[in-house]
Amino acid sequence: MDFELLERAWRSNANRPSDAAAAYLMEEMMQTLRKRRNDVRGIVVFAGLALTVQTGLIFHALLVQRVMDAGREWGALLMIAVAWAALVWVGLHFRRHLLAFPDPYVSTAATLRALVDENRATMQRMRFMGVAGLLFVLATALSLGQLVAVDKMTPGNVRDFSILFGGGFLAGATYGLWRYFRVLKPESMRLQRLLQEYRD
Amino acid sequence: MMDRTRDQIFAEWMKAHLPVLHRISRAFADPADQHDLLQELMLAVWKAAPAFRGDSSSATFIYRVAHNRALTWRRRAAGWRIRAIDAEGEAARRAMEAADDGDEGALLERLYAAIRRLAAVERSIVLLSLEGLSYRDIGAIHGLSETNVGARLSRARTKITSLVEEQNDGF
Repeated sequence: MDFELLERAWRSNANRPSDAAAAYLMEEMMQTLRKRRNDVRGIVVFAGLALTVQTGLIFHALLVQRVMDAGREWGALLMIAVAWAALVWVGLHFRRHLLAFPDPYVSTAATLRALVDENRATMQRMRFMGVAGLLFVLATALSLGQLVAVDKMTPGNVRDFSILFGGGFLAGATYGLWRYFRVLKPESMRLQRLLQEYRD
Repeated sequence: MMDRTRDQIFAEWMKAHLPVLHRISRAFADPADQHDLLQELMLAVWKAAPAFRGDSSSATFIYRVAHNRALTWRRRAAGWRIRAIDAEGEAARRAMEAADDGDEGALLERLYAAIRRLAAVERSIVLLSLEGLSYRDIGAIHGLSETNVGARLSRARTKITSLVEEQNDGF
């Protein structure tokens, strides 16, 4: 079979979507984009605000309302410190990746290398967040103990909070483990295999 | 780039280049997944639009973005058995429709089926060649030398011809 025959078929009208199909696809995409734009903004705004509000509330209680004794309730400050340290580390780590690969579109091989690095960096961030999560749990436990010691919480309150917090933490940890082993690791292998095709 | 300007540019690009994305989706995905991949490609182009600096043509930029996305795209694993059955059914339906549309349509279906059996990078290079890009432009998109592109294309064309003939014999 002559390859030119295949090239002629490629250039034929049979190889183009109809105008109606193209119009439908565009309309569908614009709807998807409108929804996606709102989702991304919402996540970024929420994540950014949450920690700031929490920090603000704690310092307000400490410095303005003076209902918090830093000498005996420093556990809460430790919790916030761990959360901020994790956020700063993640931000700096992500920035390092962006600086290493400033132009994601220079070539597909370069993009694949950037994706491999991004995957590696994501897995590293998840390991770090796992450790930070455990530290946060310890800081929370310490803070709860201190709140009981200053009579701001009862052991019953601690039990109820622990069930809620522990459940949320377990759910998050389970999702993290699933994502790490069932999504990121196979993705790493797949990207490496693709990159290998450029070396063959 | 304001969202409205980006949308306008995106609409202009899609008017000219949606058929290219459509062909890429047919080459990189089974029939049951082609719509998903096409949506991913369009989304990738939209997201990349602010990065376009005009140092290449919009067509080259779009090829680059779309092929990047197609190479790394992975179909959703959920319900893969059902999708495999659906894909075979869809491919059979398309082959029948294409046969009704004439020899060209049927030949195209066999060509796409053959292209989908190539390794991912080879597939991308063949597609770009079929779109009329030079070895130099293909090499620039992939970060390969012209000689490398030529050698890979030569191998890929032989494979495709042989695969299409195999399918012809099957009919």
